Amino acid sequence: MKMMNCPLNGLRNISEFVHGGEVKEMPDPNSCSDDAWAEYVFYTENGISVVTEWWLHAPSGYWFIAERHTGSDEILKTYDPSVLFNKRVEFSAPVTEGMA
Amino acid sequence: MSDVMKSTITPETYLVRSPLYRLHKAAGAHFDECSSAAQVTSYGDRSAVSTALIDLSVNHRFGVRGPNALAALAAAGLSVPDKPNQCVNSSNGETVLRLSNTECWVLGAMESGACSADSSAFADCYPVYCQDSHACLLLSGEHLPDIMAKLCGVDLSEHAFPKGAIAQTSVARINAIISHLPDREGTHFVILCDSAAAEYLWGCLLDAMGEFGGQAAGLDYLF
Amino acid sequence: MTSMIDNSMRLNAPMGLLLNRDNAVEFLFEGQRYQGYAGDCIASALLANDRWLMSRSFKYHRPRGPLTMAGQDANTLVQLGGDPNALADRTPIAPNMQIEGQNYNGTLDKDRDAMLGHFGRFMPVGFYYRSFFKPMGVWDKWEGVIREKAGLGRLDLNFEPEYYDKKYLFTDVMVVGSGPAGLSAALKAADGGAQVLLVEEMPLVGGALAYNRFDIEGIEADRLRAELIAKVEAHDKITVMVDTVCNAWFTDNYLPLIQGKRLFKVRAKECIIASGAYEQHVVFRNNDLPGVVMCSAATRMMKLYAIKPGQSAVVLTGNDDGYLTALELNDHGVNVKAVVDMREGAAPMDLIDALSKRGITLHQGYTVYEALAEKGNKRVKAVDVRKITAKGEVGNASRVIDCDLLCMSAGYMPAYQLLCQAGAQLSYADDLAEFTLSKLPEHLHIAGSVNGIHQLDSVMADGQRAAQLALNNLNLSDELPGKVSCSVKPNFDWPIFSHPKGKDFVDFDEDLQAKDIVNATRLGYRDVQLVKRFSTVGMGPSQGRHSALPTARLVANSTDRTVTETGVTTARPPFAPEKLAHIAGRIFDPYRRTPMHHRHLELGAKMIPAGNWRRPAFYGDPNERDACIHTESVHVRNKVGLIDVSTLGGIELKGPDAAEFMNRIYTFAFLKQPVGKTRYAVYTNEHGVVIDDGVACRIAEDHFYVTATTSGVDRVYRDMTKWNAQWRLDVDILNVTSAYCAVNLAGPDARKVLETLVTDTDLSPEGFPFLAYGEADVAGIPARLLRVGFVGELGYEIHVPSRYGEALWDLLMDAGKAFDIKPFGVETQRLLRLEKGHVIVSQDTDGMSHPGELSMTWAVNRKKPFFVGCRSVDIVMAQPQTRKLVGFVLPAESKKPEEGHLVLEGDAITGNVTSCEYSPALKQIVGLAFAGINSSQPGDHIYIRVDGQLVEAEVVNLPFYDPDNLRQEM
Repeated sequence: MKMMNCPLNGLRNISEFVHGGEVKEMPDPNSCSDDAWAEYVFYTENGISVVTEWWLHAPSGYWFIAERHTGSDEILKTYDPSVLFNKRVEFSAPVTEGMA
Repeated sequence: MSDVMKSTITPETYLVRSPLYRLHKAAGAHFDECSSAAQVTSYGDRSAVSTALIDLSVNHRFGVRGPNALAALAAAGLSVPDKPNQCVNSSNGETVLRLSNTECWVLGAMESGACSADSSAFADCYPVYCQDSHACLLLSGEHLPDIMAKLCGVDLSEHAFPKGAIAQTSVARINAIISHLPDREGTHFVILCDSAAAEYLWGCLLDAMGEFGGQAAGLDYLF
Repeated sequence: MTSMIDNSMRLNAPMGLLLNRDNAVEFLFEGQRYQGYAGDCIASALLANDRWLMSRSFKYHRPRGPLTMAGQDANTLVQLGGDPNALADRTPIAPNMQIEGQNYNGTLDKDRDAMLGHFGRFMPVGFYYRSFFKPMGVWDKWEGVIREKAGLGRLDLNFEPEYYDKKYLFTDVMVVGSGPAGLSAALKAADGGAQVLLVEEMPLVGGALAYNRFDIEGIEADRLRAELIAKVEAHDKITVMVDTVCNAWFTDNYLPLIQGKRLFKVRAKECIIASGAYEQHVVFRNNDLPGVVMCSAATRMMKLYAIKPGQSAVVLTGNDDGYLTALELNDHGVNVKAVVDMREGAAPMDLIDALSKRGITLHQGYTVYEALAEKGNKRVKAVDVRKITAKGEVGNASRVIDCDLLCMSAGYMPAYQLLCQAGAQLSYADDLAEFTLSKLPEHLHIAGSVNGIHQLDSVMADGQRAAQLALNNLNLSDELPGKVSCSVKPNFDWPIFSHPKGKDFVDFDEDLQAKDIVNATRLGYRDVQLVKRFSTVGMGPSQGRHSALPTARLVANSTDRTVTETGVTTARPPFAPEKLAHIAGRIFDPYRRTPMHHRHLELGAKMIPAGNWRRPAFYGDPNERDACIHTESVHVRNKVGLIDVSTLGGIELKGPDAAEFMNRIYTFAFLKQPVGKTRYAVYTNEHGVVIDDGVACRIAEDHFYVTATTSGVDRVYRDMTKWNAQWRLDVDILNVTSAYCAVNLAGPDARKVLETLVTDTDLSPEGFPFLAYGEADVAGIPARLLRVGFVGELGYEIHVPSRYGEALWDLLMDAGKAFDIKPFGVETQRLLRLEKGHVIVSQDTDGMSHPGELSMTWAVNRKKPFFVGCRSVDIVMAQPQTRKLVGFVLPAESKKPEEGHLVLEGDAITGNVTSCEYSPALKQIVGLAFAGINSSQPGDHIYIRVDGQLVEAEVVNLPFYDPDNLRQEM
């Protein structure tokens, strides 16, 4: 069984982790096109490359980010999400045209 | 307390009950009052037992988290570990478990079962209801790494998991927090698990201990 | 019963390393009593009594005896009571063990199906595939007959389960194989400061040192083995496990070991594979007769079990090792009639001299072309030796030599399985006629004969080299590992001598002959993987340990490719057969119990699973489900009932951004939810699909308590924490599912019951109205009260810390006595909520259900900036709606649809029933179903196919019961 290094708990069996999908930037849901939204929701890259993914260490409920090569399945590094997400995210009000 | 008094204490007398009290009762255990509940004092003669499993679920514990948690505990006079996944004893006998950069749990002193405060005393922290969400078991004695290796994929031998270390991991396929108690002679693992799964894990641990002659015990095993 | 106590074939000590001659053991084979010694395997104990026939082959029922004496072949599979396919050459005998041969009809000695061998030419390769392919159904007719003839052993279906378990082991370095390479690697690694686990499949350490002869005098192996064992035993950093097989290599050196009834899961930082090599057979006619064995099998018989393997022997070899075997046989009184060396002039002079000194005839450039036997083929009696004239061809001049033992060695095949599982590449060195391994992963190393190193001193050096690499990876050393090479070539290039009459076996397990492999390629199966699947070569219990090399050579030869190009078939775990019991182990099947669990059992609840919880379905006779549910539901409608809802998920949100966070997760608006009120909360995922729901209680401006479904809470909690890892709102998210337990006290008398226990809160309709939230003291228990109406009656959900759960139940049941309170189960609750038309997410919804389909748009706020599924909900809601979840009714006497039954419009499926029950309150059948949008209005009719018949149901407004909600708002 594969092992992964959790930034909080150290090297653990992969069975302790839950995959949370790729880290993706959400387009503005209130202004993007339908296509851009569908791309965000339904499509993932499937090439041989390094992907940045969410992983959860289930016993401690800790989410972190891992960079993994999809060809070798090697996990190159793992780190706390605050490295990528360090400021409060706000959402703009929806466009109200046609909703009068 | 006299023996006559002891035998009259039954867990159902109290509003607060351990999720495991029926197992203790069925095994003929003796109880004493602790934190307004019945704590097992004795499971019969365990003087020759190399490894014991003790239910500390009714002992007091609380958790706090948030950006102020570590500082608040320190200000209250508790010792706080330097790094996550470590535990230290405070001078009042309470053990502080640091589970992350912003979360600590405090276990009441083992003999009295009491804590000097509660999470409600820390107004600028978020409470964690570990008294109810988790059962608290103590595995004490010899062969602990071998016993745990039958249930858990983390190396808990002395060199990899010294006194004061914590492992948040999977034990017998449920999540658990294993703490190697510091400052105490012998090897003692406190195992905190989902209180709803306490009966399940109790059975798994007794089964794993059987090979080494381990048995359930009461607090008198320690004192 | 006659007793066979013979042991006439035993040699004197010190032969018999494994034996304890003070401890005689009697056992039964085929009903006959035999005696061996403690330490004997079944095969050696039978050989001691001169019994060679131990089993019959799979296809032709040919007599078979020991071939490798190391569990590497299927020739001696035996039945042990109810346990089939035990390896006789590995399984130790035990007092009164009952052993039988396999694959015979009648007796092992007189098999009525032995004539199957004569039909061999009518059963060519691929016989079953080609004969039973057409006409359709023919296989069904023949399968039973064929399986009867071709099966392997019998299973005892009335077995008693035994206790098997698993355990982790952690080590710095694990060494697989305790031969000279493994021993020297273990010592070097341990000397360098690493913790070492040394694993040996056999009952004793030493590998080839324990049985092979390495020098003319025959002293070096014993001397070296004693020296190395003494060092290993004295080393406190080395742990040795014998009788232990490493059955696979998995990523990051995760290595399963099987020892007895335990599977060890090893995590090794570094792993050294010193698994050795399998001696290979020569392909010639009747090479499967009992008495035809590997050279190493003969030496194992002598040194490990003190068995004299025959009276007169011929040794057929393609390397020097055969000469040493001949010397060993000669030393122990076996008359070695000849050494037949397939090579011409390759043997060193000292070996030739040693043979001639003992009067052993040597034929160089010759081979055995056929082994001869008495009628019945039960033991070899002579061999036909001929000169090799060309690759695989022999001359006509025949020299017949009488013998009862033929030892053969065509060379070696590395024990590559674990390495190839780890991704190592296997390629064939034409000059060495040997497969070699390369491209190992970083923390895996290889040493000894598996690495193509065969000279003893080089093997030792190779073990040290591998250990040095491991030490360097562990940062315990930084020395450069030495280079190790080997000048010996033990493999003969083409040890295959096909015979026109066949029975020249390539694969003993599957009774495959040389022509079978060649014919498979002629039928177009050029790829070795296809050859395997067509011919079944390598599929037997020995998994190609002996058939892979000759198959690769034959396929390469007949398809004009190199052996490297041909390759071998993929080696997958397990390495050796393993029991399902080993994989299952002591099964861990976690369950959760609410604090009131035992009270339900005492009250006679019929328990059903709900996720990993168990919940009461109803209370009473399990065979009277409908009646029990009927009674309980009527009771709740008319009096008061109590249900344990502790399995409901609970999540607590606290902090300045708690309301903002709620607003982003759930579809409804929460910023202005008043403190002390509850609000329905729907969660859609990013696809806009409803995946959970619950009740949100605002405890304080900065504090929410929200419930989630039993099965959904873990998902919702994970999603919440993941979202906030991105949003960085100032809110704490806590899963309190196990921290709080809860009951729902429901029915017209619910208030009266609760009022007897609560004195600090005004429970009147004005003081604590429908949808109120409050905290109260329930007879000393701190409680959270939610006035919600899931079942449609006056009701209170009472949530308390789990430690109080059982006491709360007791108090309520006690207080309720005066009001005839009765517990009710989750099936009753499902009926009650159905009468109220409440949806259960995941029962009444599916992976496509958006809020519009569920008529939940009232709970979706699109004026707020964001909620998780907002954009997808907008997009799907803008499309024309195709289906809708509707309520339907049927007369009580109608056929009752079940969940999953289809809703049809003509031939088209427009939906399905999601919930359906007979409603005692309405005296008709009520249900929820997805219906096509054109028949989803009240008054429309939908057609449900129930057991093949169409039932016409009427669509009605929801709820079915108490449409004005007067009862829950009492």
